[in-house]
Amino acid sequence: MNNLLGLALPLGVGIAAVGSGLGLGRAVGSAMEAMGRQPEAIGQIQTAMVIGCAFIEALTIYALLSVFILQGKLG
Amino acid sequence: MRRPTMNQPLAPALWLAAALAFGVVAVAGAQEHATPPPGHEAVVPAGEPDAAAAHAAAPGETVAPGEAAAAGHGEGEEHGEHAVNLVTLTAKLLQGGRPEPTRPATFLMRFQAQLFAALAAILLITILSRVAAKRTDHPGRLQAAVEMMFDGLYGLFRSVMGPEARAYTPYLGTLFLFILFNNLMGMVPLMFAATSVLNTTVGLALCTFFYVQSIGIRKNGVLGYLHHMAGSPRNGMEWGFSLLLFPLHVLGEFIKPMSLSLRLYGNIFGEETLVATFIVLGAGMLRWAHVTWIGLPIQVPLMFLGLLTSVIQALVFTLLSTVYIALMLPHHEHAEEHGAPAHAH
Repeated sequence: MNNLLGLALPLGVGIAAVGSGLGLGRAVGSAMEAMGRQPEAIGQIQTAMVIGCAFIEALTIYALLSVFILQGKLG
Repeated sequence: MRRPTMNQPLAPALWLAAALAFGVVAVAGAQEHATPPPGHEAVVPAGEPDAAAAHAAAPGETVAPGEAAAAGHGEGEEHGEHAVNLVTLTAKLLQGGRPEPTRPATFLMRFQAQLFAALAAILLITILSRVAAKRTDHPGRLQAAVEMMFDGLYGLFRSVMGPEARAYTPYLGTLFLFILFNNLMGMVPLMFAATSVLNTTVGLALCTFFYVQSIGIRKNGVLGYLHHMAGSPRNGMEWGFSLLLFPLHVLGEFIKPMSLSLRLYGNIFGEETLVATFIVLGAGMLRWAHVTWIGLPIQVPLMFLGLLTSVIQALVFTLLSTVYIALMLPHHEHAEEHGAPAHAH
């Protein structure tokens, strides 16, 4: 059972990281494009991008949380 | 403009040198715990054993092995590693080497987070009340700094909520400053971030939750609040949908504080665990040269990342609370655009 947990936890975090990598890439890419189109709005776009990235990152953090919580059971 | 008292390029270099020097000396104290003794069943002074890594004060004092049970051995409740802070050091001092846990030491260990949160609150209250009490038209530096902060925050809230933001700025501004202070305290050596325990973050999220619901009931009336929960149906077809939308909205309202608290907790706790892990790692970094009394401060770059994360997470929490309040207010058509997403989790 411990071996399975030791396999599953990092795998879970890795899969969550893939998802958030894709999401963040899209978000930052759109932000870059928007900044290129309208350089005078760079400040606002940057702020909105950072906030959006925090939301996307939160889902990966939830996966990392499960690692922290189950860490003691890894034996 | 006052003449600078130090040569300008020298000052940041000195800061960096001081930080690195402190990091090196601090890591020296971690040498004793780089390899925790195997199968060590230590007497723990409190319900939560602390510190496999010692991020110690300048004299290199470390937490004795009797106090620092290796984290996670045989108990699932302590997860990750923690660096030593002022409270744990005081607790060890009060314990004085007695084998069974003493009451002051137990109290200190159990209420670490609350003590540091209280410290942050006292700091905030002191600074802000001093500025508010002696308001002048020719502001000194402290008042100017606080005014700048207020302007920035108020501008942010107004861009999300419109001109009614003034009534909600006290709560939201306090939320931001409190979370910011707590997060940043986690990055200071010998301090602890109260937001890195679930208790504080859930408490803050529940404050926001109850505040938002009370605003909804106050501004819309009870019937209007229920109407809003049902998706604001206007014609017959929407009334049909409202039966489906009502449970969804209620569930959504409950998910909001959950996601708020977990996001803040995960980020700050993860950052602190990362720093503590790197401290332990850096403590043993020079063993190949048979140097055991000192290590490398490789946790310093991570602390810069931690500063960024602290500020961003405080901002995100506050912004989300603003958006939730804005969603609860009675909707009316206005021409100005909103800067923040209307539906966010």
